[in-house]
Amino acid sequence: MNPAIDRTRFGTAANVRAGLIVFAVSLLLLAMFLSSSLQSYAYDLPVNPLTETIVAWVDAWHGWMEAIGAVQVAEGIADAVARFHDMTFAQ
Amino acid sequence: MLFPTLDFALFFVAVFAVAWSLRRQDGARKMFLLGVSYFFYGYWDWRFCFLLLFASLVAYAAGVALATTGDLRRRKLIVGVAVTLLLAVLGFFKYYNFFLDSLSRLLEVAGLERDMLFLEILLPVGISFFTFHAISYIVDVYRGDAVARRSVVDVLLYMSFFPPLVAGPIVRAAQFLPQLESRRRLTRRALAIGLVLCLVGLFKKMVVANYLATDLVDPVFFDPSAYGTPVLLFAAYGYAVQIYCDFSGYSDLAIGTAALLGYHLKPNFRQPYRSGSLQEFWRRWHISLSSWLRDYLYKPLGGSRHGELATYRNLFVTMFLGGLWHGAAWTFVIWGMLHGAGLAAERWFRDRFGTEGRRSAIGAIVAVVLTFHFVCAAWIFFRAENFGIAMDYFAGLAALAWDVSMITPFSLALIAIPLLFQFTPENLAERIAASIKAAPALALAVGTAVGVVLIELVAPAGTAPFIYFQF
Repeated sequence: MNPAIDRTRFGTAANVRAGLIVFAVSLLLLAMFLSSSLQSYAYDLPVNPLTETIVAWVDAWHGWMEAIGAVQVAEGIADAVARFHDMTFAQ
Repeated sequence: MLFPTLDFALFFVAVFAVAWSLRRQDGARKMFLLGVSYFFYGYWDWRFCFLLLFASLVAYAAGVALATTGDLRRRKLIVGVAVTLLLAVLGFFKYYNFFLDSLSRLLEVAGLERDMLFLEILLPVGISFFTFHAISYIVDVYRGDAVARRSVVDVLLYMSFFPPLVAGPIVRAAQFLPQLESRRRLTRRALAIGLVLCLVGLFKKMVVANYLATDLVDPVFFDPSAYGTPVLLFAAYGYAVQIYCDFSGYSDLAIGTAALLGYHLKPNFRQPYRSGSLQEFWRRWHISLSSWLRDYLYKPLGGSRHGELATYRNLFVTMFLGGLWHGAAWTFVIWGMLHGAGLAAERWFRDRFGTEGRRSAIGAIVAVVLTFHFVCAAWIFFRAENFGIAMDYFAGLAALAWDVSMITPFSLALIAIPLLFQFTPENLAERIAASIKAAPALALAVGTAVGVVLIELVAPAGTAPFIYFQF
């Protein structure tokens, strides 16, 4: 690979952008599949006008995630893990 | 602020973005990292920041004083005063009540019962680690391994840099400070290693360590007399895996987040349960502490230079103090003494019979199994709430009563899988990082995000603190 192209593709600025994309996508997926945890987090915030707005947004977001099925996928995975977790050698 | 929390995730994304936006302004970048490191530390209790600042200023002042004099006696005096000050602070916060309690019991036995002035002292998180950072800086400057810094910001940042601040790895001044002099770059390799280590660390802590703690280890160690031999043996293996995943998971996260900010920290664990001897175990377990103890305690005591008996004594004293460093309790002291005695016995055996390098395949397997079981037995003291519970545990193991109530396929998998990973090729995380570093950013993002989401979904609810926070 041409070193000049390599520096452009993989220089610090490009890698920082890549890192920010990683964080953004991770936070988005977490917010999608763990919207109920996000709801709990929002409800634990100290009560004030700002956090009330945040809670309203988070409630609406959670509703959308239920509507598109993300919550059900997460619950399905959690249920499968719980079944394995509760299994005994006698079964 | 705990690593596996939303608070830390949001904090780190902001730090990452701002720190790299300041990459061409070294001074501003360092000031920013210093500020966020104190914010990170003060998140537990802002009052502890003054203690961290005090230890940092003692280290800085000692460094400046050492740089201004070449007189050996004066230099020794400076090191002596500074290290004594640091150890006095550590001793007060960590050991005051322990020593008073031990003294009180001793006087009681001698029939000289006295009222003692016990104090309610809150143990500042990470105090053992940043005290060792400060001592490392002072001794490295004294020995000429590190240059004394004129910049107070450099020393403050070395002492408070948030990834390894509260539970290590213990960073050497000679290794970290030169990194503050050069402009930081984020290479694709560092990005990939940082992400892989963060994922591995999260999995070890949030899934393996947390499940083992709540499902198996905590209940069994709470009342070992209620369980039969197979469960006690299983829980001892469980604790060996739990503490490994908890502590090495923290180290992975610390090294990974530091890599994402452009700083290299040395590995702290290298598959310790594959060791065929205790000496090898300590080269693979908590490497930053064992090498610290070797360089700043064992060698100054004389190391192995003054004959056999002195070597055994130095090994024993080093591990005894290593045990005490972990916590103010006799169970930690016994754990340290067991390792010290084991290392000394191993040395004696090797000096007599010279087994190193001449083991057959079966001999190597037997050595690994024996070492693992010695380490597990010592962990029982380390984990037990007190000496009585540890004795109950050993009594239960010796009773040979049948009971498999706590052994489930899930907990068996949690123990077996990390143990199997002890025998994979070394540097597996680096190898994985090397294979994904050329992937497009979006592929890296989706891979990492799916990993994080799966870990969150599989992990038990809640975030237990890391075991090493108490040290």
